Amino acid sequence: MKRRQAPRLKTREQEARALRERAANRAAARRGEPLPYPNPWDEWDPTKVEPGASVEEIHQSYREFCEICPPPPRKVHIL
Amino acid sequence: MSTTAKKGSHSLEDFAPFLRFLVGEAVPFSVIGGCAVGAYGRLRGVEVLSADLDVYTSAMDLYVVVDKVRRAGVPILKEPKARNLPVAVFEWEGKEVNVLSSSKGLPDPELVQRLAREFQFRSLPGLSVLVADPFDLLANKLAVNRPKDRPHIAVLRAFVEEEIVEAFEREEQPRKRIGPARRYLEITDVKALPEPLAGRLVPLARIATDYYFLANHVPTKALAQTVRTTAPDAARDQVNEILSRRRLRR
Repeated sequence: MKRRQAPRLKTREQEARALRERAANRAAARRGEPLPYPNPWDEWDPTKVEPGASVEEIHQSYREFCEICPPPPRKVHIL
Repeated sequence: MSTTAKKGSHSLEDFAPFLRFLVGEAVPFSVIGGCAVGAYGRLRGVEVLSADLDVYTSAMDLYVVVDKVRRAGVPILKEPKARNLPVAVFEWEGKEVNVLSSSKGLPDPELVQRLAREFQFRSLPGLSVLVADPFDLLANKLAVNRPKDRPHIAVLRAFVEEEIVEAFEREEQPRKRIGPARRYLEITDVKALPEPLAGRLVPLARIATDYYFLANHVPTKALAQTVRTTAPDAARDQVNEILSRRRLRR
């Protein structure tokens, strides 16, 4: 059966730019310099942990995130 | 879902020993089926009994439940078959239990659990059980729609319609006021509200978004006229515009 090709979500130029920016970020990280193309979510989500965070740090980050964006309260019924 | 057409005789509490077992084993699950309908029915004074208990869980947890039940010494009467029939059937203390990981009209088990409601029991201290949200249950029953589901559909419709009215009466935020009614329209796949329900909502409209919603979803010309004449001045132009696009029954 002939395999159908997935539709392109980005143009070739967009894809090339993303790969270039990632490579630049990796190189800057290796040199210990600030990332030239930082992910805006890193700034917007103050609870985000660094790669290699411990279980406790991840759990603390989860608790802090729940304070910013709490899950909806569950309805309780009593029979 | 039940495998036989046995007459219902159990409520959710009758399955307390098995429910305590599942909760004790920390298996994530929610209750669906007749026992779930019965739980909502009782909140409105309607008794619905079921022949069996239907438990809804993820495909992976279905096998966890089967394993734990077997280890508890209970024989599995029907093994789940991953590709075509993801349901396990067994009897717990003489009562049939079905554990399913998919059912027509229901979202994924994880999503159902997230939206499920917690039921506590005055007669069973310490036990609390997640029961699928009544809107999800209604969508499920409408999709399955066997003759035995029809009385359940009526019970669930009555329950969610009361919640829709309550939201119009009590909620303040626009999204919370009209959210249940929107969900009802989605589930039942209709554009217009049932006339008796719309007739109860129109007098409760207070804010502009209520009027826009009702202008879009009242079923009759008479109700549309009431929405038009009672809408606040600031909302009237938009209400008129919405109503001018509608084709309404007399």
